[in-house]
Amino acid sequence: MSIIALHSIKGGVGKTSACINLAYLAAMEGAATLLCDLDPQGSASFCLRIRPLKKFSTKKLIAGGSKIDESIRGTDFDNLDLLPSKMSYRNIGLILNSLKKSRKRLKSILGGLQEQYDYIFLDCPPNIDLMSENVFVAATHILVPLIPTPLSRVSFQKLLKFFEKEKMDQSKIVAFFSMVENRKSVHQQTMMEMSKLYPRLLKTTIPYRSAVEKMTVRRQPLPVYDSRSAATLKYEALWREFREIMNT
Amino acid sequence: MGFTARTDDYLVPDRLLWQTLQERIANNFACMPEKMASTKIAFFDSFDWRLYNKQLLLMRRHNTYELCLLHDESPIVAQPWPSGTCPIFWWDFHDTELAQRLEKILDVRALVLCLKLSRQSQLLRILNRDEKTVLKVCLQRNVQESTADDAHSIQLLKLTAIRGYDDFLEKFKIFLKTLQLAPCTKHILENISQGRARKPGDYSSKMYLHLKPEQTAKSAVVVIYNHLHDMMKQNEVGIKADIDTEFLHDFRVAVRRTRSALTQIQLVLPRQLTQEFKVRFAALGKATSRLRDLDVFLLREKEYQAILPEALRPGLAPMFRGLIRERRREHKRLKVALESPEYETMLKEWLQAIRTLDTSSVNLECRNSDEPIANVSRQFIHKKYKQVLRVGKNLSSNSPDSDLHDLRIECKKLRYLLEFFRSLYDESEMAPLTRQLKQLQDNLGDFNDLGIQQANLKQMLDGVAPQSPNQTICAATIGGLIAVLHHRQRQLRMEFESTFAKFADRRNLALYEKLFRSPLRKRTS
Repeated sequence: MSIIALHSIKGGVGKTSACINLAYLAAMEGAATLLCDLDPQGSASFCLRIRPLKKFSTKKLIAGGSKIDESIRGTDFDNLDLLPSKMSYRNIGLILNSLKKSRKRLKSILGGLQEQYDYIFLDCPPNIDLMSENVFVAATHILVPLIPTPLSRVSFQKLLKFFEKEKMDQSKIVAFFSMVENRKSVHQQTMMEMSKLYPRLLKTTIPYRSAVEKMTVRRQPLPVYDSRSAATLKYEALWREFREIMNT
Repeated sequence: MGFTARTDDYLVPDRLLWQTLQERIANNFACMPEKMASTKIAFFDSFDWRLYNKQLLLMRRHNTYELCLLHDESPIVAQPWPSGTCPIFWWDFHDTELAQRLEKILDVRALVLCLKLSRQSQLLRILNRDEKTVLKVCLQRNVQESTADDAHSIQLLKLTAIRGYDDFLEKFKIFLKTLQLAPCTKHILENISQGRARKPGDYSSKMYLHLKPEQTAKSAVVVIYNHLHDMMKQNEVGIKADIDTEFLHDFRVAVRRTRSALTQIQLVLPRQLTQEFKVRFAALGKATSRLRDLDVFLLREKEYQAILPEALRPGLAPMFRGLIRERRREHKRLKVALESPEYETMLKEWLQAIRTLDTSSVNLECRNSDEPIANVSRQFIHKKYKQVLRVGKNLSSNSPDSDLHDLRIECKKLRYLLEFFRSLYDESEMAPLTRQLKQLQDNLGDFNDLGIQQANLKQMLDGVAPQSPNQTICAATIGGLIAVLHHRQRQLRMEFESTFAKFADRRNLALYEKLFRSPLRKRTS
């Protein structure tokens, strides 16, 4: 089982869109896939038309086991399930902090789902806190979307420094450019510079397209309602490239 | 891997039109229909339903072979396959996962077409207030593809629950009750039986008879002979069409069982009838022997290759080419024999004789005829088991191989009796007896088999004239095989004593005595 975390310190970088579309593409290949919406905003849950659960809570998430099993919902698509978000996740850091082995909690919770799924995608809130550390420990791969601007570059460097300081495995981190507008010279310049600096940058870039933004209106993965758009083709290429990296 | 979605099927009567059903659903639930899909499906299994018996299905659709679970057609493994080619054996799927899976189940049996149908299906998504799918309802119409005018069809409504939305499934089921639709637990393969020559599970090489202890011996043997006659008839087509080697094998077993019953179940049928058909069935068995020998030989090609050192392997190919040619001739000869009026007449007369017995109320002047079968069977099994013990105990390490052959024949007779009358006894007590006997038979059977192989190879060796390098390598190959087989046979000979000791174990014998010793003997002892 591979656990793929979509993470970024910065918000609004196309993290949720990528998470939904990549999870959908994995499921369409026949792989049993679970998307965990860890963001209290619940955007992924909203896009897949699944409401937050009334009886679920942060404590139940941390308890794991049958509590998680009961909370998983099937999406409209074969092989793709979702663990919906909960507003109470905003307090998750506090609760984790009070527990022993607080950095490894999520890993053991997700380990319990190993029999059921080939892939688990984590849609993470934009932050670096104890929850993020749990994600970094649990994930087999951390996929970071980057808008090619100097600010994104700074936040990416912060993430790498954090890994270095905490002595965590940096090789888990794989980044890709997201919301790319080729007509902007800043984007072109940043992509050129960063490609030289960071070898683990995927070649495929995701363009900025209104079709992607419509995911919140259509409340479906992009390939479902716009299978031939340039953005869809790019997500497909991104999944192929990333899958190749996971297999090597 | 993954969460297994719960599915429920309902039978939809033909009178309930698709359109009407869809309207009734739409009146009660928010739903969204998807495009209708049509596909042609073919189902395959071995003649003896090996996949079905394991609750599996092999289906071909959209140029893909899928090994699926029987209850919901969920695929275990799928293998795309070009149209126009039709794999028959597991090895025809070459180096694929499907081949690996089928090998374990099918062994040497061929795949035969069981059912062809065209399927139209339409998915209705039941939606909640967020327009999210909370239940999948599939309307499915299956029409059997047949040349007959009365091609059968079945309409199904299949519900697939979505994880976490069980309440919608329950609501929908309550709605279905108002439509009076009956739940359907069987697969279409089992449901579409009308107009089909075969039904799933209608053939097994094993004998499953249902005899009652109080029924007369005469009526019981009629059941046995009828069953064996049917077995011969069922396998005829497969032998003639040369589908796989097991048709002939099962046919021969049915002939041998019939002969064994005629010899062992004594004083039930008129002596003259028994004598006559013993001779006729023996001749029939003999007519099939050479082809079976050749089949066994040819099935061993890979095994022989593995036995031999690489230097001697080139001799195998010409040897097997010769055998294949001979097999072709032998098959042709048997096919002619099975299509001959003599064979036809013999089976007809046999069936006629059994049927007359079944309906006849005339006293047959046979002592055991009107006795309850429980008493008669006990007497025969007890006698035969004593005989096996006697022959086996007299064997020593110096006994000639032919004595082991005699014991093998006696064991086989005992095994057939246990199989004929199995239903009269407690299964839990019969199982260990059969198991123990089988182990002894395996030892004796393998020993005998290795002897036959060596004799056949020796015969081939005698025919080799080593004037050319090809013939010389052939002779060396045969010599190599004989040496290895001889060594294996000697090893089995050494294992015989311990295997027999297990059969003649005190507890095993006590069970034989308990089950089969007649009450009369008990009183006198």
